[in-house]
Amino acid sequence: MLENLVRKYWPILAIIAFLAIFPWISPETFFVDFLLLLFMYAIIAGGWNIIGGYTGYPSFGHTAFFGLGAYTTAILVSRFGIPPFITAILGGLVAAGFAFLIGYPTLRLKGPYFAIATLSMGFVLQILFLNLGPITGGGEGISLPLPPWRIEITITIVYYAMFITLLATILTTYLLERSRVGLALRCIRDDELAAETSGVPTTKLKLISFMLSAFFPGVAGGIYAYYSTYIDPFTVFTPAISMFAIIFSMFGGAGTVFGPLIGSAILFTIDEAARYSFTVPGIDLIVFSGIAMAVVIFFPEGLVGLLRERIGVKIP
Amino acid sequence: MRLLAQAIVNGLLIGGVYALMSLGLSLIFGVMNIANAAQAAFAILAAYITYWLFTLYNINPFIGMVISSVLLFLIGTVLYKYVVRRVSELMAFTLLYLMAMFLESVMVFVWTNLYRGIRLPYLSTSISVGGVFIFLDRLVGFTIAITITAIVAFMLKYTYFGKAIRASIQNPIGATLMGVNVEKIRMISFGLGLAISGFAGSVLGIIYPFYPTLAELWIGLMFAIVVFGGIGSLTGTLIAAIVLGIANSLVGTYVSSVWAPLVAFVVLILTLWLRPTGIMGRKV
Repeated sequence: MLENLVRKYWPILAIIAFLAIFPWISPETFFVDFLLLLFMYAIIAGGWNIIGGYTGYPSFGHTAFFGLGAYTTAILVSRFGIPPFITAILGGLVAAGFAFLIGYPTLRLKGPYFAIATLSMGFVLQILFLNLGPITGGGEGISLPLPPWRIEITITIVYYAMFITLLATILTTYLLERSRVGLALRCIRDDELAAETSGVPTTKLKLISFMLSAFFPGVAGGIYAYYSTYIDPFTVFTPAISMFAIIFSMFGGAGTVFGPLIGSAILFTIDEAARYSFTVPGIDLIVFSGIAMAVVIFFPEGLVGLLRERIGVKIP
Repeated sequence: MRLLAQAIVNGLLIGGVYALMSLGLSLIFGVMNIANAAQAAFAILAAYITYWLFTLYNINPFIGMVISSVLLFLIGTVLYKYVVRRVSELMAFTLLYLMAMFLESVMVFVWTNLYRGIRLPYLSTSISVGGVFIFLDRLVGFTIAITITAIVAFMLKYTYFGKAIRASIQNPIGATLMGVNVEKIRMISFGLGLAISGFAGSVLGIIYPFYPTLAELWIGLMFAIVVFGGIGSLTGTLIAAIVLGIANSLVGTYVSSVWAPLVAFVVLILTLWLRPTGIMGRKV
């Protein structure tokens, strides 16, 4: 059993093992720092993938969940001194709760109404958090207490936290894909009317899928808040995060287990490399949105779909 | 009392601009069930075109807005024919959202994210009617908005093209059987929707300062108006725009104008929850 598992999945297990020991063998903290941000985007893209890729209801405001998670941690840690790893989970739950609030009225409808509602979700929360000063610190944001140990140790801890959350996101997606619920979600994506006629409780499943998709970015937001020790509404509720979630996920392959991770790995690396080599601000957004449009038109299955089709590699 | 009257008059005039901004979106949404997430970005693009024509070539903005709306009509038809038509209705939303992001980042690249404005000194005055001030630029914007809405409504009701559009909305297959080239109607409607945005963006640029990412603020408001008014009903869009204009003006006067986007969002969610057909739309 275990032997079979190892034989079948050895490349993935090898990568996991390598990443697990990476902070100890990395020549510089820079790379650990880089990887943990990559993990963060992969978590957000992976979360998006559950509702956008598997269920076929793309969300255009995933920054809302990331930001809610970040603020939950920031408020609970700085005001009440609750340990950050509990608050990160709570942040995920708050994000899922907000997803319920938005999803309940809009996911009963078919068509673009859900997309429309999510479009201004992040923006509205940004305004709300900017103007609820007594609770959220308004435009000045919230500073979290600095961790009592050296910066390298903080980065290592945060690295593992992001890594575990990413593994949880991918494992959840994998198990979801193999379950009846996952099958039902794909039915909704491919033909919602047929799914409904076959007795699939579409509204309920769409809602569960949306809440699940909000949970992981919420957790990532909490870890990010602890890591950056300072957040404000402009950095955590930014359209860039919503956009990257969609682009990374679709580039890698929406509706596949590893698509969002592969997409994030490639595009985030390019983005960071470009940031250090030539400094024309904003050009990455032009290039990425251009690439993503081409992906939507020419190969909607993304990179994973392309590899499966052309080379026949079996990537889950 | 005077404050209230002033707030309502302001709201009414702003409602006209809201209506003009949402009209193209409403048309495209109604005719082909495509929610054009790039509508606001195109409107801002039009504002920049008119702005450039004005500042670089000294072309009067009222002529400039005609030029930019013709340009947008061309862009719209080409975009529909070669891009939007290739994907499903649902993917069209994603595609147009990415298009909006692309346009915004290109505009930031070309014009930076600083505030610009099409300044016409002769319009920046106000007339006083019984103690209530009416700003001239907003009045002109309102007049343009109502005129264009009336033209579009007239066209939809009485011309062959308008009847063909309505037939394509009600029953595409039936319309095809009656000899209507539905694909062509859709292409022209898409272009027309963007052309209206050409006027809307230019009017916006005359009244308010603008910058590329302003589109993100507007698109939520525009969708709220179209959904609240009811998909497929231009009258509904007009009424919803004026209601939201007055509501936002009242909130701005008595509470704070920062909450305006929140008002639109709450209206959107409540409409989808309680009455997805909006004020006077067809069944969802």
